[in-house]
Formats: sequence, C-alpha cells, structure tokens
Amino acid sequence: MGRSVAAEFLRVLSTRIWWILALVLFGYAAFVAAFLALFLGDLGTLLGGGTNLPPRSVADLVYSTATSVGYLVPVLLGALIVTTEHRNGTLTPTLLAEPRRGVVVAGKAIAGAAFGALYGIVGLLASVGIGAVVLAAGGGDPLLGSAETWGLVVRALVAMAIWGLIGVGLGGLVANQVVAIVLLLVFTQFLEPILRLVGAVWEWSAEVGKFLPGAASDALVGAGLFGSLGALDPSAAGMHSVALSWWAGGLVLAGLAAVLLVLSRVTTWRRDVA
Amino acid sequence: MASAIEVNRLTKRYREVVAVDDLSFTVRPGRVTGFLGPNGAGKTTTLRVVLGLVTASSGAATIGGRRYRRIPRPLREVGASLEATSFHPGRTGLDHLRVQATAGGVPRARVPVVLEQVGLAGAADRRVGAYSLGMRQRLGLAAALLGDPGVLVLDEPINGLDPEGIRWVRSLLRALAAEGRTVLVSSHVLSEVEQAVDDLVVIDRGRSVYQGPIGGLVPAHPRVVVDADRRAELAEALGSRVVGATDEGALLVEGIDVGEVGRIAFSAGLALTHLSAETRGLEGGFLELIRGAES
Repeated sequence: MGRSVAAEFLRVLSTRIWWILALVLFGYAAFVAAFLALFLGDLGTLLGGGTNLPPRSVADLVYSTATSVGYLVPVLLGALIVTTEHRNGTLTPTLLAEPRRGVVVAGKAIAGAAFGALYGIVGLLASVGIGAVVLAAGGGDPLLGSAETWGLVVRALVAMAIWGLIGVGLGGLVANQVVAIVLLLVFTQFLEPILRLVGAVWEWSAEVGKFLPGAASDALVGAGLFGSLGALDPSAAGMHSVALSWWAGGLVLAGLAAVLLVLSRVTTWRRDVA
Repeated sequence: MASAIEVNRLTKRYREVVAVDDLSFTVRPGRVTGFLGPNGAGKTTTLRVVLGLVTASSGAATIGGRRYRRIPRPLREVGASLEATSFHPGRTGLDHLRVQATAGGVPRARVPVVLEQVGLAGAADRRVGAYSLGMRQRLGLAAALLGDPGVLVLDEPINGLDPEGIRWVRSLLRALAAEGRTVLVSSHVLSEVEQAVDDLVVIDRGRSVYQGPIGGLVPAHPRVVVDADRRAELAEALGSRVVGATDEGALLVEGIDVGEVGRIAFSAGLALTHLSAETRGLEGGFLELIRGAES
C-alpha cells in the first residue's frame, strides 16, 4: 500500500499540471478574496460603499473563497490522476508494477486527498493571507486570533481533501479525460449554480438543494459565496437560504466520494486494460 | 532457475470475436521463445492475459505456477514491455523508471543501471514526448529489466529500431536467455527475430499452428529451381517432378535435390543456365503455415 501511495505522489510530482493548478488556485482565490474584502470590509465603507455585515460574516466569506471558488482544483487534479493513465496508456505499466487494482485505487485516492489538502493550504494562503491584509488595511479586524477563524481553516482543509477523493472517484468512473473535465466544468460552473439558485426560490426545493455537493461543501466549511447571496444583495433577500450543519455537510461530501470510489472500483476499474 | 510461462487452454472472447481460441503452450527458461503470427492473430491479447491485464474467458496463464495478479512484487519476477506508447509524454524517462521502481518495490539504485544498459543514460532527463520510437522501445526495455526479473515478456520489441538497435536487441535477448532467464518475444515478422530465437510458438487467428524448435519450421517440401536454354527438353527429362515455374519461367522441381537434378540434365546432354535450391527458408515455412491455416 505504501509503495502505491509513494508511486502516486511521484506520478503527480513528475508532471507539470499540479503546480500549474496550484498557481491558478492561488491567483484566483487571492483575487476573489481581495475583491470581497475590499468591498465588504471597512475599506469599502470608506470608499462610500460597503455593507453592514458583521466582521465575523465578512471574514468567513473572504476566507472561505479558498473552497467556495477553489474546490474545482482538487476535484480536477483527482480526476486527472486517473484519467491521465487512461489517456496515455500508462495504466499498463502501473498495473504491471501493482496488479492488485484495489491497491492502485486506494493509492490514487490517498494521493488525491493529500493533494486536495495541499491545495487547501495554497487556497487558504491566498484567501486568508491576502484577504486579511486587505481587511486590516481598512482598519477592520481580520479576526485572525479567533478560534472560529481557525475552525474554518481546518474544515476548509478537510473539504478540499474530500474534493480530491471525489475527483479520483469521478475520474475512475468516467475514465475518459475529456469527458471527465467537461462533466466537471459543466456541473460545477453551470449546472450546480443554477440548481442552487433555482432551489433557493421555494422552501421545499431549498431543502433538497442543500444536499448538492457544492452546498454541502459550503456547509462543511461554514461559509460560501452562495449562502451569503441574501446578505450581499437585498433583492435576493427573499430567497430561502438553508444549509446543512457543518458535520452533515461533511458527511454528504464524504458519502459522495465513497459512492463514486466504490462505483468506479466495481465498474471501470474491473475492465480489461488493452 | 527462472519460472516457466504456461498458457493452458486459453480462450478470450470479445462479444462476437474470438481473439484467442483454446491456446496452450509453455515457454521454458534458458531459451528465447518467439511468439509469432500475423497482425491481429491474438498475440498481444495472449500476452496481456499472461500479465493479468486482460481477464481470460476460459483457461489460464501462469508464470511459475501462479497467476500474475497473485505474484507479490511482480516486477522483480516478470519484466514486460508491451507498447512503445505507454508513457506520459510530459514525464522524463528517468522519472518513469523511478515511478515504476517505487511502485514495484525495486531498489532505486537499479534505475541508472538499466538506463545505462539500454543506452538511454544521456537522454534520461528529457521528457518522453521528445523521444523517438526507438528511444521509447529502449525505455520500455529498461522498465522490463528494472527488477532484474527471471522472466521477460516483450511485445514487438524490435518495432521502430534502426539496424544497429535491432542487432542490439537480438544480442540482448540471447544474453538474457544465456543467463537462464525465460524470454518470450512476440513479432509479426519472423525474419526480425529468426536469428535470436530457439523456440517458436506460431499462432494464427487465436489458434496455435506451430510449436517447437525454430529448425522445425523449414518448408515441408523443399524445391529446386532449374533452367536451361532448351527448357522444353529439360522439362521432358525431369518429367512429373516438375511442379511449376518461377515468374521468369524457370522450372520448379520437387522430390529430388540439386545434385540429382544436375545428373539428370547431364545425362540428357543439357547445359544448365540456372540451378539452385529455392531460398524460401524459414519465412517460407512460416508463410506456408499461415496460408495452411487460412485454407
């Protein structure tokens, strides 16, 4: 098992995509966090805008951008860990070195979770690092001494690790790299946002919508862009914003990862490698 | 003593196509066994079953009595090179071998050794995407040799190599067998491996058509090519032993050797313009087998 995990780390580290994704994640999370901190923090008030959100909500919103916009990166890498092997035919040497497919899948899952957590660190360095600086620049309190802030940081790391697992499960199920990437982009960037938006219109649909993976992830972390829509935009105030408790969100997300991993193991991972 | 590869009544069916049909053969240690057949004969499918990548519909393939998937650290016992394309183009040759060594539980110190052995040490730090087909073949061989295995399974290792590379692979195969290893090497062209193999397993459309030493593959009916200016008289002298003619019109004679043909012509007072044994050799025997399987 240890050999498979070590080999999986080498596989990722010996190609370029992992650090390209890390750079993209850092830049994107830093930009969104800085933007939110600027307009929602005291600096925004100084500039004549701003909201009357309490500092706690602002900090949560700013810091959680690491996951609320960054979760696509670990899930993408997780999917690539598997689909790259199908795409380049490297599944053959992989299975020659370790023919027990369950061990290979477990190695990939562990690597996916570990890189997910690594991306969590990268994303938080951007969202907390840059976000806190911007919040403090306006004279506001970045709440870095608060236990709640560090609770969010830890839960964000857990969420990113689970997103890595989800990627490995999805990639294993789909196998085709292009299909996996398109599915991920369509679902996370288009389908789920629409479902969450529409879901928030009625009370019953909001009760269903809170189980969507992105909503569960925001629930686990404790904050997210979507859940705060009502607070950000007065016209959205009538929307039903329902969220799972953080542990229920974590269970939903972990359950999704488990289902995808098991499904992929008993279907695509069983196939002949020709 | 290295393990033998045993394929026992192996059948692989894909929906309607039978890729391998009740195939049995044994590959012995200390010899190079050529696995031959035209493209699409089922060679690669058979090798993939041997290596646990493809599941057999029925029958079994074992190495040293165990299925590949049951061997704890298979790279240390079986080295395989299947396709020259099974590499990540963005990974260096060195990193590919490092990954394989790590995954297979092979000491990292073997990596520079095999790189040197296949002559890739100078290109180890380059990405595989920049490798030529011949270099990829060498990298595949390096990966196969990584665990210093007693059994080698090589699928078309000569494809894409230059003449110097072909000579090198042939001598490598001979050297590996001389060390007592079991060497199974597939090819669709007999002449590629003819000088390197001891035994042959020839398959066509998933079925075995010949198994045995390479010497057993000579054509069953050797023929003699003979010609004279007075061709009609020569044909008359040789009588029913003439079985045909070459493209140039020379006579093809079966059942007697070159010396006997010369004596017959001499006693008939005919001056020969050509006299030779037909040079179809092993390739001829190989083609004869495959043609035989078709009819």
